[in-house]
Amino acid sequence: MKITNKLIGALIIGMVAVTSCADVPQTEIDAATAAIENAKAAGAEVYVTEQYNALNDSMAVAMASLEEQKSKFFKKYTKTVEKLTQVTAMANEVSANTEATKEAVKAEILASMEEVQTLVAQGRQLITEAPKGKEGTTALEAIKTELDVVEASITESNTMFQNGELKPSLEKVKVAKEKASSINTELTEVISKYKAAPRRK
Amino acid sequence: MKFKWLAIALLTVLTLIVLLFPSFIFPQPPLSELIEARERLSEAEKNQASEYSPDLYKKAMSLYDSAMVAWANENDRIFFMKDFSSTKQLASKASETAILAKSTAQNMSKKVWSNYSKRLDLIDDQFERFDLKYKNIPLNEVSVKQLAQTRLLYHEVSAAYEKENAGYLKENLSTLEANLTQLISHAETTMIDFFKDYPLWKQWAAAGIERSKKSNETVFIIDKMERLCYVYAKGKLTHTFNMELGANWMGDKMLSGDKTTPEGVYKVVKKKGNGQTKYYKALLLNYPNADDQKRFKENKAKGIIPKNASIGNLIEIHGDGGKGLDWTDGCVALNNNDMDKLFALASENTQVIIVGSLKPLPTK
Repeated sequence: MKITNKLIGALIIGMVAVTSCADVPQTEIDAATAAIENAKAAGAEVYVTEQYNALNDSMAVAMASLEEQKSKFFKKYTKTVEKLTQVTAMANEVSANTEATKEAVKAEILASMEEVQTLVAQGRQLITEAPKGKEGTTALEAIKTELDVVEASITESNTMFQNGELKPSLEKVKVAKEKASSINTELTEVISKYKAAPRRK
Repeated sequence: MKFKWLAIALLTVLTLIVLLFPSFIFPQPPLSELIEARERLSEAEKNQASEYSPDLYKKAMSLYDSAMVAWANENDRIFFMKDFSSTKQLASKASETAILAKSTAQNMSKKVWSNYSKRLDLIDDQFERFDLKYKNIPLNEVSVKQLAQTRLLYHEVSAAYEKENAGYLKENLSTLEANLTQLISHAETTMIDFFKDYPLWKQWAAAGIERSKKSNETVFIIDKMERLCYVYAKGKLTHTFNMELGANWMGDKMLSGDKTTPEGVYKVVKKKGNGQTKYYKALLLNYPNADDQKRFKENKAKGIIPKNASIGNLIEIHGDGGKGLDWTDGCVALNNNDMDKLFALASENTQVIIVGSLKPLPTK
């Protein structure tokens, strides 16, 4: 009798043992989720879009792996934990890459702004060097207005920069730089044309 | 006793079934369906479905999330109660929707960029025509600034197009179109206003050429729009010279200092040779004539010009031209070689007719 009861008990325990759930790796899930949130907050979606999308795909694969194990009778989360740990590491790398990209963009914006300011200053100097008098006044006035517009564009770019809109700021300052450069070329041509023209007697 | 052995046998059989045939008890989890759905979503995103078919993409994502939730819910059930058919259906629907989102995005993307390309081509044409047709129109300060701003915006939009920056184009292309349309409209209105005197100009020019024919005189006809000075002798065109005008050349001269070249029928009252003028050589005209004085009084009376304004004088045809733009205070400037020729053809009382245009308002 006792042996039979022990046998039944052993069988039941055996059943329970083989169907026992391994613990869901909640700590790893939370760590991966938090790391992805950090990457998003850092701006990964904007600055390293492909890396961010790949990160989300990896997390989806890890979560599918988790549910797959939960579906099974014999649950084993070893591979799921591995995947989640990889996702966390990947997310941290993406965050770091985002910061590095942002710093590079900021440096480019600041350098370009300085270049444009130099070009605008050169342009204004060229205007003062232009021959005085009515010849070309209208043309020079129009060029001066273009320089004013370029300067206003740099102010807008700077506002975007201060608001963290780095990509639009960079695009704006690049165009302003090209424009300022072409204005200075035009000014130089205008001035040399008037210097070569017959002088008043 | 019998019961106990029956229980043991049953438990043993169950354990053996679980161990040897787990799929018999546990339904197949929908892993492959969800992997496929995820891959389809990834492909859709690579084709910018979130940009070009956002509703379908969101729906596909939502179906995928619902599939995962359904799967998690079924996993919470006891093993023999799990049913993944709903999860599989949702995953399958997510795949189908993602595939549709991708193809819709591809088609929409082509349409959108084709549309951007056409609009930018039109803007290019408009700028080209503006520069050609209206290049000499004197713009006021506000319009000069607007033109400069519009040109800069054009460069920004062009750069965005080259970089396939759809977001920037979406926000700014319409603004560029509106600004350019406004500038063109202002320029066109200015032109229409300028050409209201065309019938009168035509009449003056015809009368001048007729006079040249009948009286054998030389007549000069200045076409402001074309920047050309025509010489007629015995009613026939003998010379054509390029010339430059005042910076504010459009319209008729209203007062001293407005930098406008007057329109009307004048005559040479004095020839100034070398040393007699600071502009190489000059032909002084009888501006203001009787019409100019009459109009000046009327404009003062109407308050169009200030009461203390003066009518101006010293309108000449002179040398030192050839600068390629309008720079005088209202005079007509020729380059010195042409001025030599014109000077030789002129005498005191040579008729000089200055018109806005000898051709009607261009329609294109």
